Amino acid sequence: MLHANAQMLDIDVDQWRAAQDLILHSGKAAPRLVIIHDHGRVQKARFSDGEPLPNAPTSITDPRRTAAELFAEFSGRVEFVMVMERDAVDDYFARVQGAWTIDTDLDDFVTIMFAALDDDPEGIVVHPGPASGQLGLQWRLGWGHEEIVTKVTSTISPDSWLVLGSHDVDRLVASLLIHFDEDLEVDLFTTAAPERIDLIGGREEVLERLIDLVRQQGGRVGFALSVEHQLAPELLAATDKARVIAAHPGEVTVRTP
Amino acid sequence: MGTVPLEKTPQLGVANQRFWIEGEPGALYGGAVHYWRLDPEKWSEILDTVVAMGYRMISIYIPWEVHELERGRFDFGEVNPANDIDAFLSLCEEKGLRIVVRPGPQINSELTGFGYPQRILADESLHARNARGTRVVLTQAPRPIPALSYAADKFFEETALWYDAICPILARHAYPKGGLVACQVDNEMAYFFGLNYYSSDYSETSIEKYRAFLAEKYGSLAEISKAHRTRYDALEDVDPPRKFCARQPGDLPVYLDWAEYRESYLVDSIARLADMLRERGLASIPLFHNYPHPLGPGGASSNFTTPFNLIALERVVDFVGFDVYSRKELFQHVKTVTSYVSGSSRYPYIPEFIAGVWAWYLNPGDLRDEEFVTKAALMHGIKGFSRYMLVERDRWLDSPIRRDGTVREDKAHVFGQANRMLDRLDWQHMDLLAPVVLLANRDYDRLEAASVLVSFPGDFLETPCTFSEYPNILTVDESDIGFQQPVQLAKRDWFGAWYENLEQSRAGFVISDTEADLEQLAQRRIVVLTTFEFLSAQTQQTLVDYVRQGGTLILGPTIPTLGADMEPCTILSDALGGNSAGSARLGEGSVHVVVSPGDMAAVLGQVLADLGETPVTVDNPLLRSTIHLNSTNPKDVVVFIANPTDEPQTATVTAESPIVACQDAWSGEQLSSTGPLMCELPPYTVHAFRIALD
Repeated sequence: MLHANAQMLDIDVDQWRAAQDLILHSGKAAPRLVIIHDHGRVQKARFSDGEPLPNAPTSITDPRRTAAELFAEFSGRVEFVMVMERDAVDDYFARVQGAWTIDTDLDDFVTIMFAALDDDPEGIVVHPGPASGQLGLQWRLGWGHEEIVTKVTSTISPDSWLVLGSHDVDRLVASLLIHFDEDLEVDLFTTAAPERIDLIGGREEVLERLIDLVRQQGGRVGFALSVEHQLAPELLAATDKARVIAAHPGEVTVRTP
Repeated sequence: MGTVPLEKTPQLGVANQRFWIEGEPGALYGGAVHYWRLDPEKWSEILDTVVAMGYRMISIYIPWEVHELERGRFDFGEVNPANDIDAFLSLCEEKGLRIVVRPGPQINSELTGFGYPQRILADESLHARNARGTRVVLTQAPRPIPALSYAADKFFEETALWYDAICPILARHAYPKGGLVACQVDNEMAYFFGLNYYSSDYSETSIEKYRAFLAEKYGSLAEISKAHRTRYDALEDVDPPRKFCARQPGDLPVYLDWAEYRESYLVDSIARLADMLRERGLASIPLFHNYPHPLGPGGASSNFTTPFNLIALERVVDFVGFDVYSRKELFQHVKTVTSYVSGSSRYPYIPEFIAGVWAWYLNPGDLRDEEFVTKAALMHGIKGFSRYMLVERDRWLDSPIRRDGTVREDKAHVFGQANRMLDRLDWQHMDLLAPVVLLANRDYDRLEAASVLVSFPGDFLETPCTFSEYPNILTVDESDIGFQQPVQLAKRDWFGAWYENLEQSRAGFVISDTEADLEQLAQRRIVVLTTFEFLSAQTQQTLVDYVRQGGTLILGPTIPTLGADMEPCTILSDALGGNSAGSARLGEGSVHVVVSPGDMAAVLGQVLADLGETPVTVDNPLLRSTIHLNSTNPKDVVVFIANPTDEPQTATVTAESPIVACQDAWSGEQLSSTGPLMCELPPYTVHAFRIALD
């Protein structure tokens, strides 16, 4: 779905930073408890801030139970517990890299990579799981890759723009303008930028400006949505986004011009 | 770092931490412009803006993948006018700009193929391999790419086709015929960010090279067997380590050898490419390389040694730098990297210096970060730089100049002001006052790298295992491997403690590593180094020679009695007469052994007292300062004062002799005070003053 040469042009860094905050979550930045063992012999038991785990186990026979018990004990301190067997980790990365081909799109590769995290439930254990839902760079979109492809296919027409905004009272604070080519591959990302449009105003008013901006440059908007900033995380996380929109009638504007 | 007599300074070249052009120290202040991504109609206007900002140099990545139409056939403007590199170089010369080129073969530049044509990336025979034998893949946007093996002859044969095409164009512009004054060889060579020790390169050709490396190092199969505590019946039986399993010192040489090989792999690859460039008409200009910034914003605080080896690499190219991108909250990070470059390189240059931000950095910074990081780097002795990127384009945000040529005025002002500040400081005649060098111990860094418990490739979007590519407390083995303490962990604690104590002592210091030779160490009055039970014989001998000819060595906690081969090696111990603590004279110098971090401050205080007063002193212990002296006039002093905290601070600057003039180098304002200088520093700010002493 992501074109091999997808471009990122004229992006406003403030809009982009705010969009990242809404969409991306770093597993690497999350407080977590790390256990690394070699076929049961524990070689590492530390919190991600470097502090050692008090009374750490020296061996592990049931990594899932260990992870659950440690999480129960330290749930106030960590977002998750990861218990990794050394060979399982090395095997995992070897397998994932071996699956690469020159034609693999980034989103497909990342999907394969994350799905494979759950292939060895004893070797790479995360509690609360699954591993694919906690580790690495997590996309808070509410939908998996396959579901996103389905939604795009059913909602977006070829050679059109998806316009997304997050609005805080009287100002557009985050935006993404995404162009889909004739094959519904994403080939261009941009954002609103204060030198191109006025970001100040009501939500609906600024969304119209965004749509006009696309049109002025010869583009066609297929779907546009702007949400109140405080509602954005809930909307992004929801699997049933229509329900969230329906439940907050004054907080989301949708245009399908 | 080697001192070259002034009368021997080159017409064009590097010496005495200067870049010499036409026999004068040149201000290599420049930035990157990607001609092929811009409308040629905009080139002239954009270059005029660059010149107006005070830049004197344009740094140009030249993408093989963009210019190649098909294997061996290239477009240099005949098909796409934006590809007319010859015209762009000529235009730069017309504008009076010096030129630095970067023809790869790898240039990254946020290109889908990192600069390589797709046919190269698709060629299985060119792929590097990981310890499990599968290919190595760098996850990056917009498409993952395979790491290539620079051990493959075919890779260099293909690169030769590219060099054959581009080098004749470049040679026409090379000094003294044109404005081209330096050429970067490849880019951020780091196993495609596969910095993990076990991530690569285990390709067949690389393993053959590893065996040849061992054969040269040890001289015979029997000696390799002896070093590796095993019996090899043939050289083909030698296999690199694929998982850390060491339990005793004797197990370590095989791991340290692979770490050393990984460094030499990068050095040898650069050397081969550099020779190819020299053979194709670029022998008259300096060649250099850029190591990547250790992990970028929020990344490692050090990790400037293995698999990197700046000093070894400067034996095959003219100079080497580290790229610098950071956030204002990471002052120590910037200080560490830039102090290492200024303490180790013969020309402290930042090949990529923060200007705008890569699209996939999480939580990208802003102009305040850029201003603070710029000054924080310069204050530690950086003499030249290339801004990356001066002009925004696809996949790069927030540069001073937009791709349509319009200007972000606030950014242009700050970046231009930085250039004007350097002019006011007469920066090319200033030398960082740094009588102390803190050495990283490369032997221990290699052990730390080898002792990682898991193996994984580079990932620009964040690796799913959540670990840093650089070894740290979350990934390295914690066993003591038969030593008094786990060296691979303790070495970091000790380095950090030395660093902190040196900061508190207010001593001017730089950073280097144990690759430094005697000539380099002799530039400093005091050498500080962490030592445990083992240390390579060569380093032990260099340290003894350094002290005998008058140097002061501070080390600890242990006097090593083993070499890096884990055989008895008592060069240092013998020189000290078996003393394992306290201070001792040796030849013209002295050795001070610190057995506990708690003793560092006292020993440093005692030793530093012998250095005498510094010409300028800053009072606030929360601030950081550096002093620079004019090489032709010791009464002409520059002092940088940094506030790396999130609180406002004040400082009083006093001088050993009366101040007769003082200028705020950023604003250009002449300050009237002739007594102690008072200044206020808001959070995350740096002030620079040029002071004339009586």
